[in-house]
Amino acid sequence: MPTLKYVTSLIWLTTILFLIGCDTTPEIPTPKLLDDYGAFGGNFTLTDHHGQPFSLVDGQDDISLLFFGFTYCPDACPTMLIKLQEMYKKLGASASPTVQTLYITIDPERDTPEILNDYLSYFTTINILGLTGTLDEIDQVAKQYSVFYKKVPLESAAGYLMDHSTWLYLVDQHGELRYRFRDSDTVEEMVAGIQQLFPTN
Amino acid sequence: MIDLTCSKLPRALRVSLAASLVTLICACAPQEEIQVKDAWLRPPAPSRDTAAAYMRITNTTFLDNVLIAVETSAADTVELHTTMVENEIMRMRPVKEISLPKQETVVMEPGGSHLMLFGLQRSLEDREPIYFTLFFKNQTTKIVKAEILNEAPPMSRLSDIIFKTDG
Repeated sequence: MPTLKYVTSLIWLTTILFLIGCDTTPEIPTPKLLDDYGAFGGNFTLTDHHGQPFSLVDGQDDISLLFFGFTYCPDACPTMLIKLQEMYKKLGASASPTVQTLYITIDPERDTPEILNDYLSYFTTINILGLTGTLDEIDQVAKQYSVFYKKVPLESAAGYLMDHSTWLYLVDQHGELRYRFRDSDTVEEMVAGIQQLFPTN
Repeated sequence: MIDLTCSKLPRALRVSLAASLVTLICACAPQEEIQVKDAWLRPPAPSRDTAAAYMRITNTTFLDNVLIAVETSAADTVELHTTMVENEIMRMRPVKEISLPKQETVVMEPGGSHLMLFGLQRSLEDREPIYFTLFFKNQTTKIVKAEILNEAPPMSRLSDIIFKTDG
């Protein structure tokens, strides 16, 4: 019965391929959190998207993710927020302690609390707080976290655009900077990094 | 009088005549020189009247071409832009044109080259598609339909090329 032979060998082949497939599942690289970022990081006070003052220390007990961007950027910045939506989905709604994303604008001239409020209302599945301030206040926070940003006047209907670094900063429950995610890090890597700050029991 | 409907011919003959006519027309139509697929854009964030649009443009010919301008009735201005990330620093810049090398597909996608729409005429919340007119260096134009989506479409799902005009 050649047919039976074929079927049997096909089953074997499938099984072997399946096992090989399982064996080579790539492991998610776990980000190595740092205990000491030296002089980087620290507390700051800005104005949130409700117009209320917000200090990083107010949010202690929460894990914070600091994202520096600007709402006028319709190309790449929403991509990051969509990635964060995916990340929150993976973390689960019951994630404890709470993971709070702080969207700090590096374009405070255009990003008023009202604009931030409208903009962020678009992203309802992210626990996110928009923060703005005076040019000096934003500059101070950027320096603390070593954020690069620069206003670039352009011959464009945009008037000007902002060049900026794309790091996403992980701050633990004690307000300490613990990691910088790259723009190219996957959602899985971000989750693996954050979960290291969850209590182990 | 000439009977244009050929009503005196047998029905079977009329049907096959029509069928062969359609086949002929299709066979004679030239292949699309520039093919555009997966045109889409995100609705703008509330209170913003800017949006970025994306598509995949294939130059099927053996001659290089260039996308030089884009227009739409849905926005005041459309600019060609590109986003570059180098050493974790993101820069967005307007560009004068986008090269379409022969026999290649240029992918416009988030974080890369894209169309920037300024002064949108409506919020796009109704998800009604918008239409772009693409202008090429070889004097041709193409009208492209773009879907309003929150995320990039799966490859090749949308391919809504309406028509092409040479001139």
